[in-house]
Amino acid sequence: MTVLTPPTHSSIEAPKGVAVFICGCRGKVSSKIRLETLLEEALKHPSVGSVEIMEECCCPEDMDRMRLSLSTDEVDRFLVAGCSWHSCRTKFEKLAESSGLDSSLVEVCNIKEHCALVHEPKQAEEKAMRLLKVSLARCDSLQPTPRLRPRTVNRTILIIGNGSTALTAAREAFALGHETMIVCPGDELFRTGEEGAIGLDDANVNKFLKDAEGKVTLSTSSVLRSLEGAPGEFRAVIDTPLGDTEINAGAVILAMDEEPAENPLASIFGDKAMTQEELERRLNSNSKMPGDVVMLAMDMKGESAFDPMSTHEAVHNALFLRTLNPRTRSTIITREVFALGQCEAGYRKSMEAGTRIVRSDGFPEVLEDRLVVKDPVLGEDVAIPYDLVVLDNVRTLPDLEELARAVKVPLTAEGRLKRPNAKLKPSESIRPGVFLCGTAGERGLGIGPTLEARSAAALASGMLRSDLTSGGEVAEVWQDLCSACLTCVRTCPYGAPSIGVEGKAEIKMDLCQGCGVCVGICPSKAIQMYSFRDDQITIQLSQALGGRR
Amino acid sequence: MKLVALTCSFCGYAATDLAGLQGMKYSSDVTIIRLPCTGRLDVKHVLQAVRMGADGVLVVGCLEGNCNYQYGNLEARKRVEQAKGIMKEIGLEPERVEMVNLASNQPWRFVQAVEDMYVKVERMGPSPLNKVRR
Amino acid sequence: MLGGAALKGVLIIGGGTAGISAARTLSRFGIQSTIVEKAPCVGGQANELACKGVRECVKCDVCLAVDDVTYALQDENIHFVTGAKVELLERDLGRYRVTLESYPGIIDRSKCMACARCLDACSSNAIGRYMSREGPLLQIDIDACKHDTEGCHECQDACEREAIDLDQEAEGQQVEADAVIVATGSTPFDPKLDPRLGYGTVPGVITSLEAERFINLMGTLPDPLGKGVAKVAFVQCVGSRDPRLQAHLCSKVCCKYAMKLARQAATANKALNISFFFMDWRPTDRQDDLLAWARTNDKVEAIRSRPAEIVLGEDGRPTVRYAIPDDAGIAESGFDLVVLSIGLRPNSDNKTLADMLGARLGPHGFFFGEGKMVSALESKGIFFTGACTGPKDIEESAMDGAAAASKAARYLEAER
Repeated sequence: MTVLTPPTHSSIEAPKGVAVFICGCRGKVSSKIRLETLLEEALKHPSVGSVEIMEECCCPEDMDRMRLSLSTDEVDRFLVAGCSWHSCRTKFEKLAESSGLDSSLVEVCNIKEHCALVHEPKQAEEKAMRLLKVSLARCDSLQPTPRLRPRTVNRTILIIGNGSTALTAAREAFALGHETMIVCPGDELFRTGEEGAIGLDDANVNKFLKDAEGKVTLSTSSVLRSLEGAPGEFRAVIDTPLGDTEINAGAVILAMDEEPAENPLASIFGDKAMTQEELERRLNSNSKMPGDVVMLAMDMKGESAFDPMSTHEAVHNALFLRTLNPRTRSTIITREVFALGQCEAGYRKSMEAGTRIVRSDGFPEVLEDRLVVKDPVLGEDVAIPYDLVVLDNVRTLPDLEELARAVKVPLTAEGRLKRPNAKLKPSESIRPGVFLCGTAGERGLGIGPTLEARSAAALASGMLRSDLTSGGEVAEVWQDLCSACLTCVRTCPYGAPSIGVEGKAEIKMDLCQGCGVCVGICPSKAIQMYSFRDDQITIQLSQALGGRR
Repeated sequence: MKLVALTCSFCGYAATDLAGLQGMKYSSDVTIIRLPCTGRLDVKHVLQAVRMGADGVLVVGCLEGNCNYQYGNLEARKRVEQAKGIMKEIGLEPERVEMVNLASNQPWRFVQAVEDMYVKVERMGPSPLNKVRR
Repeated sequence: MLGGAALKGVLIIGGGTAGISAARTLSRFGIQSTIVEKAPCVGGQANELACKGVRECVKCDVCLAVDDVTYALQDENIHFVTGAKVELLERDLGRYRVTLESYPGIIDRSKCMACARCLDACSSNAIGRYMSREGPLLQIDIDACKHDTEGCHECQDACEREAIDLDQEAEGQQVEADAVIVATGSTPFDPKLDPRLGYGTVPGVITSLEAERFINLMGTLPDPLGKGVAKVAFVQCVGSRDPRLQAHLCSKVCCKYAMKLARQAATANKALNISFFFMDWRPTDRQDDLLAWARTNDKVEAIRSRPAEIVLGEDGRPTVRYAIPDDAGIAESGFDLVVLSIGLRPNSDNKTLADMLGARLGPHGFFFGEGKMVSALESKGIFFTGACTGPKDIEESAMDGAAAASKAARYLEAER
């Protein structure tokens, strides 16, 4: 990681001069607030070099005017009093850069959404004055923040996966022009999920790997030990059968799938049972099928899984059975027909072809040649004869703890890779540059793993093509105050702080995402955060409350 | 009346923006100060605000489980509780400090929180610290 | 605007969750895009939806869509044309020349207060009400408007602020693009099409969308009868899985949102009685297990039955009549509020768009998202994404948009 501006908190310099722009927002602000009053107030502030009233700061003409005003040496930072920090920050940061100023020395004072649009003119103006004072104080206290940029962007995408989702992600990443490495903990990729239709046998995998001309590699029986670095330059240590190797990659996709397992119900029915997968294989090879086929889509407790894939397999295999031999009677016993979205069409088609659906609130009573179900709709016992019982393909969650620890992403209580929060893109993880897909993730049930894999690969590729400069508002330890109490180490959601060789905490800038949770909790007050130092918050509070200290 | 709202940069701040864009009305006595995440909040800041004469302090964060930094808002709630405890010990009404969790598209919840605080402070009267120093 | 010779650009038809997600992903690839949205604002259906959390986030994903719009609006690679329709799409030397048509002057935004008097006055349902970040906006759909054909000016007469001028001319606009992403989304089912549900005739029967809109403003479920809501029913599969209405598909989203709405209401009001009428419980979120909730909470009732009709009860409340499961009998149950969980239907103008693009619609009126039909079009740079290819929730739409953007980016790279 290259640090573009040296970070030191000791070098907080007094501002050279502040340029203030007051935006009327095409009447939205100026109709409520007399901008001249704000102009006079701003001029009273000692560090203010110039104040201008603008028609609409975000239109190109006014941007040019602002650039002109910023081209003087008297000014090293500026404040825009206008609309929200949320809606225009990027524009003003770009303006700062194109004017040769540090983009972290920009402050936005929200006199539109927080004043003009909500309050009556008199109150709005009073509040705008107050907010202007708060912002001016903050603007004075700003300091350049460090910027981080990878030295070189590595365009390789590293995929950790055990099944077909990993292969789909690799296909997509390869199609987008990335070298890709799949690290698979098992000795082969599992055939799971939708990809099954295409066929993920050895021949297919090998053909794809061969077609990719060495641009996609598969490393089986390999485990990710650690992942250091940041987007564009990750360093991964991988434990392979040939020993530890270090791999450099720009982005990482975690594509873990649930693994196939034996259905515990198989023991009840002995040789009269098979899984949907086996049935499909038999049907494809035109094996002879018995007359009464019962599909038992539930677990021991009679609960049907919220698994659209199982339902899809059941309804389609039932239909397939009927097409091959119209005399076959196929019955699906389930609590819930989980035929989401388009799958409903398949379910209907299967029913129309004669597949019987029997609902059951509980596990059926098993007799020698028939199952007895209490139908909740009819309220009666129904006996269903069987020659063959077809069971769901059961998939279990692999143990992801070690992987999660190595990558520093959290798991859910259930042990799935956690979706960070609703606001991030569905395929992103809490760690920038690490993307999630696969059935072992906490995804929406209606989403197929293929789509997930493609979305993750698209986002990873897009990230590697965009500007990877990051950082800025990060936390930093003032080591002379640190008492190495480990509070920050324990609190940080990203594993950024650690105890360094000198026995003091230090924060890895490339892992820190600037939440400030360590800053607020440090008992020695030894951590400060760029742009949100304690003194900055204090002075804002003080201005907000009438200037008292 | 002097009210301060410390909001996080994500849902909290976005909700205050949306309240503006949708023209909702709330007391103009509240000043909004942006933090990166409510997890940045220090107990000290709440007490500082009270010492400087704030009649009420609102801490506005994302919904629990939707924090942009995973659990900054849960940490903030702990710190708000701690600040309340200290206020009680020194004889101030702990209700002057509240934590609100909301989503970016729930501006009404912000407006409601400000109103609630306004009503509460009106009932309790100005902060004693405000009266003594004035 | 697109058309700069050096720039490769993508036209995105539809500015909903999928379209916005596609545009943002393209932007990361350094590709310019223009979003054409027929509503006066971007954001699509998600704009109307409410966050369903109280203190805790329940992952309804609505804020994901809303935040995506906020970021997209700041993105310099994304251009917007709102209130416009695609009139003509021609392919010429591998590029698309697209004619857009809009009527920007008909409703004067500086005068309109969105009071909706015009909406009530219009007898041909030509006025749409859209939720934007800045509040509601109204727009007249010229294709449905009878001004040109019959000289109707009901809306103009109804407007007290003189904001409507129906004689305004159309404004044409030409855009060039190298590829087209179709992300036109879907339409919520109109429950008036099924009169037995009593929507519009029985007071107290509302759609889930109306419930969401109300929650967005007031934070609670509405109380249309004004007597307090102590008992609420959620009726699932309205406009989904219903052969009578030619609505064969499952809408995929209704179990998820209805459960989350119900949980929000239950958190706000502990005494609230909630009944669900459903056929199969199909949530897309593992947390939303209705039957488990009903087992552990005696205020919640899960009735596996599709209501036969909803009528006005003697006490003035909506009454649901349904076949009792486990029994042959018919039961009646009165509620203070009945929420119809409306499903997602294909847009009525899908056919027109399909003809323009040379595409074929699937048997259920949606576009094909995958398969042979689509790959022929994809090789010409036309991609389909989001709910226009079948019902999708916000999370899936966002993912689908990103995946479509990646396809488009690959297409542009191959063309280069």
